[in-house]
Amino acid sequence: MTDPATLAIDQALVHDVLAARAGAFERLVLTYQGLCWHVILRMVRHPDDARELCQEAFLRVHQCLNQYRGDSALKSWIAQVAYSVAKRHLERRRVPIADMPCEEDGLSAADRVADPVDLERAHADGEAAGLLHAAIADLAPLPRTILTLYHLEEMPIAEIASITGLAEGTIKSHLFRSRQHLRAVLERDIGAAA
Amino acid sequence: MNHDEYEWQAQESALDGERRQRERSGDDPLVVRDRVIAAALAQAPAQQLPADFAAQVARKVQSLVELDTRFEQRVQTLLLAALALGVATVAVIYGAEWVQSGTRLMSGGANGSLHWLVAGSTCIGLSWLFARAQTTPVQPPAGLRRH
Repeated sequence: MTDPATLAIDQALVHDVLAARAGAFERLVLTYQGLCWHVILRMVRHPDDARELCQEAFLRVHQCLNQYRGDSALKSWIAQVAYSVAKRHLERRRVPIADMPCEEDGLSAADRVADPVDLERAHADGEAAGLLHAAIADLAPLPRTILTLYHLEEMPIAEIASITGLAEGTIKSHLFRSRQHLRAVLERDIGAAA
Repeated sequence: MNHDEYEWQAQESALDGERRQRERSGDDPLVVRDRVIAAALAQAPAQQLPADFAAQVARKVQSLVELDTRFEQRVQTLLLAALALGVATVAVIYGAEWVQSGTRLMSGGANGSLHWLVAGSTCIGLSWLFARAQTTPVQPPAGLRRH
């Protein structure tokens, strides 16, 4: 639930953009370009495509801003536009957005628990971070984006559900399985390195 | 609590621990592992948008708006020219008839002219009332009111 103060700030910004006040749209882009970039880059992965799609998303925001009713935070509305622009781009290129990578050996995460002390040491060395970033990049676009919205943008599950048009249970399931998968990859690779 | 629920709780607890920067020493081993993942997931991607991205997009939008305005003005001019041409054509074809009817009407005496004057005034009055009703200012939403 978005607080009334945020909604009032959003509405004032939208009002300024629609009234074509000088610098208002640039202010809107500056405020939300990080969010838009994270969503699109996580979806499409290629920085050049992501930059172009980010621009396309903001052009669409400008074109459709009069349809923003203020029912939800402007942040969610813009994330929804960014998500749909990136999703359409992937669909045009026939890239599946929701496949989960397969477990290679059929073992569950719990079966491959490595010593947490090893993991902590690896984390401190930056080794774990490198492995995890590679594993995150290998995830399918949808779970990768859901993880970003939840962990990096700190959005609640209900808001992510409204952005992606999926049920809250589906979002939770993606979060759970993706994090489980990342842990399995980490434990396998740290274990192999040890 | 089944195993999946236990794991979900551990993942959420790890996320909370990372956000609050809690010490890891007291955490469950499962939570410690998940905190390493939560920390990586909370990192922004290394690639960034160009520093002047917002200014570039704003300029592009501005140029598109100007292009739209120029296009609308040209279409408007074209339509007005077509309208003027139509009016001129109709006036050439039916002008003589209109002059004859007007002359007959005016020669019908003061009574005939008065009826037309009343009808014309009523039309103008009604148009003015409708225009006034449409331009009554609408109150902005509560969040936008200036106190």
